[in-house]
Amino acid sequence: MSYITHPGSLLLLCIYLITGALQAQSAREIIQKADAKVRGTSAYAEMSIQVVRPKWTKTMHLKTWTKGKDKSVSLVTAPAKEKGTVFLMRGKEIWNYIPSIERTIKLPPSMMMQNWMGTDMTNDDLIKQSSIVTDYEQEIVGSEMVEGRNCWKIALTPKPEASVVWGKILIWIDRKDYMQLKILYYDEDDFLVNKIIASDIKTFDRRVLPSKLEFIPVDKEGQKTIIRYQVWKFDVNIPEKYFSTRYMKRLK
Amino acid sequence: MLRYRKLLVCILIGMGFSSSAQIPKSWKEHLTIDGYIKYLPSTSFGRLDTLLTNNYIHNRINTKWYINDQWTVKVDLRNQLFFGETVSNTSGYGDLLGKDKGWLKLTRTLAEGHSYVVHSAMDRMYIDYQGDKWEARVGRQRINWGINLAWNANDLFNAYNLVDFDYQERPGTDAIRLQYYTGDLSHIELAYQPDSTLDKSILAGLYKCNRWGYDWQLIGGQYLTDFVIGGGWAGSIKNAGFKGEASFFRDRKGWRDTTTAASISLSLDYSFKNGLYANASFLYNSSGSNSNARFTPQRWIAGSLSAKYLMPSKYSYLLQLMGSFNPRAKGNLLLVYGQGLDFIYLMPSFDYEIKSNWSISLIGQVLLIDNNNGWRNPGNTIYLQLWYSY
Repeated sequence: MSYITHPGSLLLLCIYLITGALQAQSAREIIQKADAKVRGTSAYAEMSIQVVRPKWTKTMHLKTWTKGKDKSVSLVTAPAKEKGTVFLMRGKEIWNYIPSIERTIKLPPSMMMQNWMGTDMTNDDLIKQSSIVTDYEQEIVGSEMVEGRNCWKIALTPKPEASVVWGKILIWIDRKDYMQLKILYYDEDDFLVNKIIASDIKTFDRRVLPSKLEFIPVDKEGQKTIIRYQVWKFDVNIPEKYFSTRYMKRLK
Repeated sequence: MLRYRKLLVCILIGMGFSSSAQIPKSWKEHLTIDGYIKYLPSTSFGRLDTLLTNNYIHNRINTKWYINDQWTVKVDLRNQLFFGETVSNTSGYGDLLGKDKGWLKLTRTLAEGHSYVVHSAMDRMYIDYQGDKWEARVGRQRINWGINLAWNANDLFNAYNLVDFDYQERPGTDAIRLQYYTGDLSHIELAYQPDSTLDKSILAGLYKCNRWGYDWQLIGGQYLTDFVIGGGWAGSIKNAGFKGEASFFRDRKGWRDTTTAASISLSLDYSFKNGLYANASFLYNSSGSNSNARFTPQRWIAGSLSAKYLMPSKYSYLLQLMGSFNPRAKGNLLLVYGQGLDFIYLMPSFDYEIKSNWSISLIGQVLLIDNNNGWRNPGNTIYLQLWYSY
């Protein structure tokens, strides 16, 4: 037993155990881990969303609070005309608070699939990422470098009963820090439709994550939406009232 | 009066053009000031030989003071300058605008000449207390009980005319309101809008809850000379929004002898993948007319409405299409048909964001009436709107 007590051997054993465990990880577990990493049990983020078009750009600022898989609330903080607008999502239900008339309106569920406030991403892209865990079959199809990092390349194909819009998704997940660095979305005819490219890796609240996400519609030249995270905190204590219709008007 | 005017000028110059970024940081935590300035010239014409040109400059200042976690004070000011042919052709236009329909008198005509009127109104002025489960609000406020986007049969306090596109904040009502939260998505509410007599006041309650993916509500109380009972829902069928609301009114004095007046509205809305939003609505107003013999469009357009009488026609239909051509350019089309009265109201509009905080819009209003000899077009208006938000 002496070889185990030898520090060097112990380290080797640890490495063997860890890498062995990693190899044994299924594609599903990797996706789950990557998804859990950006989600935490709860999260708070401050971000800018820049819509880029060939001749101009528009920037919005947003604060979001999320809890679990199906509760989120977003507050628009700029530009001035849209400031104070709030979106509350609980499962399939969405409410929109309009500060000028101090009114909360319920939105149709189809709003989730529509491009959010004229950007190149949908509400689903922003919030319901967990769909990649629940609605698809996952398979590791290769290993490639992205952003100078060694990544698993994983193919997702929709489960027969899932109501999703994509025919296939390819996703590159960094082996070390479980970051989703590149995602390609294909339609049912296997044409590439959208791309998400992640970059500018930073440490947020002790988690290594890309601070910049580019949503690129492939068929639209010169067009994209860039999210930049300024603040990102995880497992924060968010009071339950933040996800209530009554608190929408008080979010700051 | 003079002091009020001076104060207003100070506010306009001092606050109106400054941005909230200039407020010191410690204040910024507690005080928000925002608003906009817009210029809205318009041309109305029946036949092309009768043109009527009007101008309207509007400044809005919204202030919200978060005293602490519990207490909030909100005061919003609406300052307007009207000039043009309608002002010069209408005697007493300033007096007309200066009348405050509320219990609090917060509207003033500040200056008036042959062809211009300067007018100011506070359409929000309230203090709000929010406890853990309780919320109380006193003052001029909006009490939004309506569910639908277009016609709100449950809006006992704040019914609005959908023709009023240039007043998106909508007027407030002077009331005392108590809310008790029974859950994240459910609450009980009691609101009282006092006036000189019981017949002019409203006292009503609401219960709201969320079950099976639907918001549900029940309302009831005393509404002017009537008793009212009603309710509504907001939910979905597949991915389309499905909403409805109804209110039934009965005269308090002749309770047994009179018939019940009903106001019922339904709507379906859907957001398409290409960004197009569509809303189809229906309204039944039992007090509405079914014949076009006595229809006066002016009264509908300029007059005030109530939850009991949201449209002059008995059966009304609305279709709204709204879409973004891109994040800066939006189009909107509103089509209203009043069955029986046989009129069509069309409102197309186009908004373009010139740059951050600046936008320009082109808005049209078209009225068509079928007076048994075919459709005629009694009036149209075209507006240009230049808007700066701060």
